[in-house]
Amino acid sequence: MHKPFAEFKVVTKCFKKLCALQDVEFALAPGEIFGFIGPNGAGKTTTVRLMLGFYAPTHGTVRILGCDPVTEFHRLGGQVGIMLEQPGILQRLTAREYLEYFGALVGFSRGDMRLRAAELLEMVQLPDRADSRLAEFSKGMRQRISLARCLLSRPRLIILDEPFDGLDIETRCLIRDTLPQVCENQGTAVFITSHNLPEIEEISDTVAIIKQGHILAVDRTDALKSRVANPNILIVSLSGDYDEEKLTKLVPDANYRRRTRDLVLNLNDSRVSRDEFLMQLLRAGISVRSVCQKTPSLEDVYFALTKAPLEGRAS
Amino acid sequence: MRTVLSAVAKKEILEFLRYDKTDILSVIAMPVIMQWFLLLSSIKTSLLLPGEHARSAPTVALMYVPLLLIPFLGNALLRKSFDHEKATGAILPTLATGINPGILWATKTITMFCCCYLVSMVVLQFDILIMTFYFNAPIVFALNIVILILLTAPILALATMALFSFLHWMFKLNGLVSSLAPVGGMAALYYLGGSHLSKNRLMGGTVLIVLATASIFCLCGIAISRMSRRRILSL
Repeated sequence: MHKPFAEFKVVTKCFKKLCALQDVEFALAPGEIFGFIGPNGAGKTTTVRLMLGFYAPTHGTVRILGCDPVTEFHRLGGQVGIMLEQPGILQRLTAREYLEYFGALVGFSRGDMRLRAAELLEMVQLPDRADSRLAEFSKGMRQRISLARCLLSRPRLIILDEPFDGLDIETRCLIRDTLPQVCENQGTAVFITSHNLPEIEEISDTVAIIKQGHILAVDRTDALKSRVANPNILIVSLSGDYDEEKLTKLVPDANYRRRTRDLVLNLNDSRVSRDEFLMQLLRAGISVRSVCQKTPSLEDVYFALTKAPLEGRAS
Repeated sequence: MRTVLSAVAKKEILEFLRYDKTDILSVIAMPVIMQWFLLLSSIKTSLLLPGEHARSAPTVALMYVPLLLIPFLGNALLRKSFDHEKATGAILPTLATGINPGILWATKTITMFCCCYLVSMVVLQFDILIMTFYFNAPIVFALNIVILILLTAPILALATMALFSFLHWMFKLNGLVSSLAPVGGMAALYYLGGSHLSKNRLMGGTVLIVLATASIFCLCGIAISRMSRRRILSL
């Protein structure tokens, strides 16, 4: 079994009176994409800073690639790539100069550095802007350069803090498509925090949900979704000439929610069971195209877990 | 290590060359005006009083060019580089590469000092031209005076700059720290001019000044190497 690339063991981080993280535990396996989601102020950025060694834990242990990131940060240089919400670019340098600067910092020779910079500029679809100053770049372009810098040294671990924030669709797709490729080709592990749940759901192998410094759940994405799967929530796909009034009268005590051409029906609090509803639907002759059980999304998991009181949290 | 040092130095030089020229000129203007007050009074002295001491006074007063200009301009560059990188988070990926913060600080400070030194030499040449052709003031090219202007005064300025640079890395109170430079410059001018600092006193202290500056520089570098990166990033 491979050693985890990142490991948090009962980590607590307190700032004076505030405890930003409490007893946080998770491990990130090689080649895994680990999504870390939670509301604002939940402790996501604190976790990232602990991983980068900018904070030392109050209690517990943080190991990154087998090293303590606070005291052994010099051993991690080049093995950890970071991309943060604030790209932190050097505005007076050109894209090529910027990448070459970081290439030199992580130990590339001049020749390798130039080749790698050109390769990455191609990858982030900015080869024609290589000699433009970064000050002239839009936010999306800056994030692309930031992604290129992050991948520069072919790191074993990539840490991304809110990488999708405020980006256009193209840049989001670029990040979303690049990360799984890198994981597959290089065995890189990716730790990603975000509010953008559809993207996290699509690319993450494992997801952790954090709230007020506590991890509410850590599991494979599918396993988390199956936890909140509810057979009593149905999606009724309506045909063109449906009768909504007739439909809602079938089960008056059910919870209905209109979603474009579909009706989401929650029978949880209803006296009518799912089978009875289907029978009544047939008997009433209401024209519907399909009825199916709603597959939970990561958003459903997130709301189900974050709205529950902390005492009842799952592990 | 050599690649790292040259990369940091190259980056600082590129940024220096690309700063807004108006900004840089306005920063340079203040110490240049200040040193001209001293220069003018020493030119008057040299024209009015007889003797070797009075004759060399204007040339000796040229030491105020590096002595004032380097800390003033250096402080402005520190603000533009360190403070800006801290504020925008640009320093964060640099530190995450595993580079020793002390080495990063020393390379940045030395590079900035070299840029300021070159600018001060250009100003010095203009001063000499104006003194010679406009004021007809005598220029004395004695070895001790040349060492004073080209070595001792800039080294003293480097010590000041290293301390400012250290403060910029230590604290987030940039407005307060930055205001110390002009105040420090004025105080230095008052002290050095007011106490009739003789060239002999400074000349005799060259070795001491070099040693003191090297010690200050090393101590600052060691302190930064041992400082937590959280402190440097002001997180």
